[in-house]
Amino acid sequence: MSTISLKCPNCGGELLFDPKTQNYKCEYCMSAFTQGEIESLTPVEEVTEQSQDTQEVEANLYLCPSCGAEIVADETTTATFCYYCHNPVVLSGKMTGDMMPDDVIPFQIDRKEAEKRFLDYVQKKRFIPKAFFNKKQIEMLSGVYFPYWVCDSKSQGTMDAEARNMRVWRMGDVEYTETKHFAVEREGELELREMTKNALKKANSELIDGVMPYLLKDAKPFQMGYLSGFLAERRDIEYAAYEDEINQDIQKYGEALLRNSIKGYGSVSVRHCNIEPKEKIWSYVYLPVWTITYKGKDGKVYYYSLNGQTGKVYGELPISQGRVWKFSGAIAAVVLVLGLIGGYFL
Amino acid sequence: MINLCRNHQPQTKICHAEEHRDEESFQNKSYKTILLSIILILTMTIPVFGMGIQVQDEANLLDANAEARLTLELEEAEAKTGWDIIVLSIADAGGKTARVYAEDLYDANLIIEDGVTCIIDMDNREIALQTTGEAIYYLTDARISDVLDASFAAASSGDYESSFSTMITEVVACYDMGAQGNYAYNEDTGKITTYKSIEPIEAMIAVVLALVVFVGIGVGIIGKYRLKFGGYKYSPNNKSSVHLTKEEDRFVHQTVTHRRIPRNNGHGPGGGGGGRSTVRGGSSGRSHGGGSRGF
Repeated sequence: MSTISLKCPNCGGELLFDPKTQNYKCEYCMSAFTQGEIESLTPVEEVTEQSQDTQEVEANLYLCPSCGAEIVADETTTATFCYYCHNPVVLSGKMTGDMMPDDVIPFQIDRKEAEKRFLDYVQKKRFIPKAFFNKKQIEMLSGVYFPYWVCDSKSQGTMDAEARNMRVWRMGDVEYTETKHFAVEREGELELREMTKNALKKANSELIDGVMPYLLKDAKPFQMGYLSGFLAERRDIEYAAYEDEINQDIQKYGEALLRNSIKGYGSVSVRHCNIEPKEKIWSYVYLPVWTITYKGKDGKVYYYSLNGQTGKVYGELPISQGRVWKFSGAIAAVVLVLGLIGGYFL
Repeated sequence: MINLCRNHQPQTKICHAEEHRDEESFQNKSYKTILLSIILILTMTIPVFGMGIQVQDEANLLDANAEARLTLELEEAEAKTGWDIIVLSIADAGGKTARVYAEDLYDANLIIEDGVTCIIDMDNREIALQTTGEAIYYLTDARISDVLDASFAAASSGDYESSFSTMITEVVACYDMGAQGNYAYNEDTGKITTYKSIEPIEAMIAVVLALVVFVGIGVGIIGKYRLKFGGYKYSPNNKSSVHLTKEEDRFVHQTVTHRRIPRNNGHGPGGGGGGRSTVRGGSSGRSHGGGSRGF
């Protein structure tokens, strides 16, 4: 099994992917290299690990290309840092064949920026206890590439509906109501793109789904180098597991699309709708997430995820009950006064 | 603060201040007591109505027992409604109608805020009701008519106590019916005033609504912070397209229905659902509602 680490052609130091410049930076001599330069100048170093004679060799035994120490990692880990020398290591051996991602959205937000955005987001929230969030309490801030399945679908849809238009007018003492009934039919080709599903069992789906959406049009073809300096995991859920869910989604959103194409009526009731998925293209994609572990002043640990491309933050927030109820009470008082005034005059 | 006055030398500020304070406070005290006693006297001179003037039997239609019974009924009715209810019988109306006589009698001498006067006029041979203040809205023209209907028979047959008693009972019944939606129409000026009040039911609705908002907003915010509302939901906005191969909108049929709109009975605004109380200006400038029926 092979591991990769990128070496700086100038000084031999480790190259890390820098989200701010979208290039590779050497931590020691501060030189910067683009993706193209990396590929042409420095052939990616590979260190093949010596396989032992016995059959008890675990397929997960990796050695750090810099210091030779054993890499400690989960079954699904594809990029990490050496436990001993802290150099970034990309476990390329785990991404061979169909385990090689199709696309990746490289980190656009670097560590400092992530921290800043997190604190900004959290401090703006109105109902958290005062001065709860502090930079120093951030226990852990890790940039991780999580594996996702992205599905683009094409379907054939048909819809039958009944629509009505009403007209009311008066002549003298009599009120006339005219109702026009229509039979509406729609049929066509529907495209639903970028339906994204988490592909890692051990991931907290709620947290990493919560930071979606990603701008997938900015995804790049996968290159191992992007992972350098971050953690990464490979998938352990196959797309077949999502077949049913995606079919349901296609039904739901397809129907909505067709329904929205019926315009100009007072009321519409759908009699029959059939959506048949004709084509599903699955892509295996790595998406960037900053995971944040925060130790709150109340002793509880809070988890947040931050979208590595858009900066969206997701996670459970601590609540200052006092502020919530005071605000609620103020609004309720206004409603009460308005209600009483209304009652007085009616 | 230095308090220098012509008579004293400012030997020590403290001493003088104390002296002056005593003088001042003494003056203040006497002003205060005078003011308080004036207020006290004034409040005592406001006539406390409803004491012993409830039954005015000028025509001597009721004996002592009847008067006592009616007084008891009146007290009960007043306790319930909060109005001043008077029973009046007239021997000689001096050319006025029963209502005008009552107006002149009461408006000049006494202050009634909200009340009803039940009248049996032996001179004009009519029974009448006169309403003031809040009672105007509770006793609409229609309701007064009903009350007089009920009391009319007893008066015709000479049972005056019974007639008064019925009037009182019916007046209380009108109070129970409430005044929502009723309005007063002033004959002289043509002005219309709606009954303005906060009915208990409306207050309750307002409170319930406020409570719902209170709990709703609180729970909503807490739920959002605790992520109870789910996170991201796929939205097909920029990520979808529809290419229609068949788009048919076929007209099937049309139906026309009609209904007759019932004519509105009330002439004034708010006539729908509200009862009208016709009101006139009295001799003292106060307006009264009411009605009469000859027997």
